[in-house]
Amino acid sequence: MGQTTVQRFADRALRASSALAFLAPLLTRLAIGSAYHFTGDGKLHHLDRTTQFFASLSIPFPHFNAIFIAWLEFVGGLGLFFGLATRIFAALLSCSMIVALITSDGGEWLKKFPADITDVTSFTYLLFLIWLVLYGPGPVSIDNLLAKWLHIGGPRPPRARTRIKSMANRWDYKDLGFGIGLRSVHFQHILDKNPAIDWFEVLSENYMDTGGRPLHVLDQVAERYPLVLHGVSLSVGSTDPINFEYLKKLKALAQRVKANWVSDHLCWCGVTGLNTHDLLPMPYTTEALRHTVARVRTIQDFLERPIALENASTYLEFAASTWPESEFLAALAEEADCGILLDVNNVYVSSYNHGFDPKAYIDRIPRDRVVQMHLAGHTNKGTHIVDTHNDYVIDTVWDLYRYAHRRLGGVATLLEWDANIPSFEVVHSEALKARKFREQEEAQLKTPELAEIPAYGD
Amino acid sequence: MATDPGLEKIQRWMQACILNQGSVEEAIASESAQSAVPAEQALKLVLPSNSLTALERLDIYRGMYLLRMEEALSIDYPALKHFLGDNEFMRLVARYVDVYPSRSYTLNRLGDRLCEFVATLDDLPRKEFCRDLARLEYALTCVFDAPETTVLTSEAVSAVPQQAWENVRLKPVEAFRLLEFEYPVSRYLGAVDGENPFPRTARKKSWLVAYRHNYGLHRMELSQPAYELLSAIAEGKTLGQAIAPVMARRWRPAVKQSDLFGWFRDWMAEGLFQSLEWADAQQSAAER
Repeated sequence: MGQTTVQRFADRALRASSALAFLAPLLTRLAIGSAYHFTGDGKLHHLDRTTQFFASLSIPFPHFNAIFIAWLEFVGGLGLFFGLATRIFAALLSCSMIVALITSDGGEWLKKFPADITDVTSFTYLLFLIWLVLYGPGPVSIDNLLAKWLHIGGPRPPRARTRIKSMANRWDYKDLGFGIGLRSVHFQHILDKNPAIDWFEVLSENYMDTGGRPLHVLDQVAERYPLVLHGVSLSVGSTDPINFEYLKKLKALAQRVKANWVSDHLCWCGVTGLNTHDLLPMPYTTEALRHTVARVRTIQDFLERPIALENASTYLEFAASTWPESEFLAALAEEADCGILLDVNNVYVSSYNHGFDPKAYIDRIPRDRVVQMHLAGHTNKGTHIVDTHNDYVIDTVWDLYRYAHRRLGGVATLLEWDANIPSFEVVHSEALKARKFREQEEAQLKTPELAEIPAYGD
Repeated sequence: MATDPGLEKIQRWMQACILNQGSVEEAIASESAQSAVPAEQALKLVLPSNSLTALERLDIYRGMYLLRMEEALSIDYPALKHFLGDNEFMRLVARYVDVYPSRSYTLNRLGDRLCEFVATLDDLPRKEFCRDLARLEYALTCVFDAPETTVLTSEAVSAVPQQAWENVRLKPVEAFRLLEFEYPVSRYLGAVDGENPFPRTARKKSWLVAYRHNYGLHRMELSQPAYELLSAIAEGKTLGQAIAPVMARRWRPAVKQSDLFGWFRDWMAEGLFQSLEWADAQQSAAER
């Protein structure tokens, strides 16, 4: 099941070219920036000759224009060289090149079209300048540093497709509101108090093989609250055969509790018949994508419903990976036609462990695939973060949740708390913070009728 | 050097490294890991981060594996863990999962073979006591998860003609286990749960029935004659066949008729039986 030589070569070539893409605008700027600077310097030192030349071309106000063009090329060349105000200087110099083509080169350059058109220096310069105007100076530039410093630019703010209130995933799965995981330490509280909570998420494997109290409680909870099944052993990325006995029990449980949807993780749990009971990381290769897409399709056919897959927290990356995780997840969701459970805490944990931008990760998630979000606490070990679900959600993750909400809209949100579990009230109140943040976010977007948010792919 | 040996080999390699209990260097050099990826290639399979080497990142998963296994077995075997202490229990878990790694989608089945494994460990402190503790705690997990069944009703009992009782067979509920021990392990578990003082752990035979009643998990200590009677009933013998040998044996103290009535009263009240059936006397005689 390995990748073909062609696929491997193509993957690596694309990866290498992407990694070196910064060189294209940089080399262009260095070359034409220095050329303009020294040309401008020459004009400044010989203003008389420049003025005479402009006059011979019948350019109005030749002396004034000679000074202007000389300084533009002298200063603009430096700007291009260092990547400062690149677009402005490139635009002004483009204008001067157009004038040059009309005046100095006359109509002669048209005669060279198409075979020898690039022999005309002004025309070639003009093409590079237009490229810089439209694509900008690239990452190695003063402009880029200033943009980061001033928090401007970033992903293009696109035209909205959907209003925030009417956004929906493609299956019209409901926004269930704000829920928590159903845990045995809270059973009695839930049965006795009937707390006002929107919904519960149920760990599938805890109820698939028991006929005792957990299932008895689950039946009662299912009568009172909306439920979602969340599994940890589907092992969608494993190269072992699919466990249909497991799927059979999962399907029966989902029908029994009328699960709103069923979710698991983008991971593998074991091979050769074993289960490590961990959410192990995938190598994000084209081979892994094809393999996982096929398995998810089979699983969905068997369950007769779409599933949602969660981005797991990961602690290592494989050198073989040719896709960023977010793009792999997005491609998997599109090709397998499944949903996404976006764990905002996991995005943060993995971004810390691997050094990527968590907001850029969220930007790549297709909005109409997201059916649910997760939030949780974690443990920062200094060198890395472990996804322990044993504490309050940190402020950075709340900020990321607000960002995710702005990008992806209102979807069912769940707080996970699986170790050192406090009282039901504490867990519930932590979950309800998500509602507060969402309301604040929506208030900032003004009236819902006008509130428009960026859409993936715009 | 190929950094992509393919998905199947990457997964076999990583799992072999996680399951190996030596150092991370020993893990990647192990036969099972090298059967997927040679050690010299393995070093380039995982990328380092800004703060951790590739092997340190792999070690995170390895460390979490044993902790997860220990946590799962501590839930099912709290008294055994209490008896052995944290370090010895962790050592037992490591040895156990090395031989019996999980093959199920649920961790609830991880400890299914711990009793038989404990029996093979000659260096385990108080091995026989540990084996009894493990048997008890395993039985409790089975009772906890057993399917729910209906409980015998008083209407069903009163429908049996008086002359038919000798031929009645009682069927226990599914959440029901009869256990015989060489040591007072139920009392030890009760002490761990704060129900009673810790008993002496010297050899002393004990008998009990573990069962579920109204979804609660219970243990009822039995005398030896009560245990033998209940065992005979659970094996499918008629009440006549089950009671006669118990009454015929010489017990100290002797079993009285009132004891029998008391036992059945308690067993019925605790819902140990789900149904009854009887054959008429003639049919029963023909069977004999």
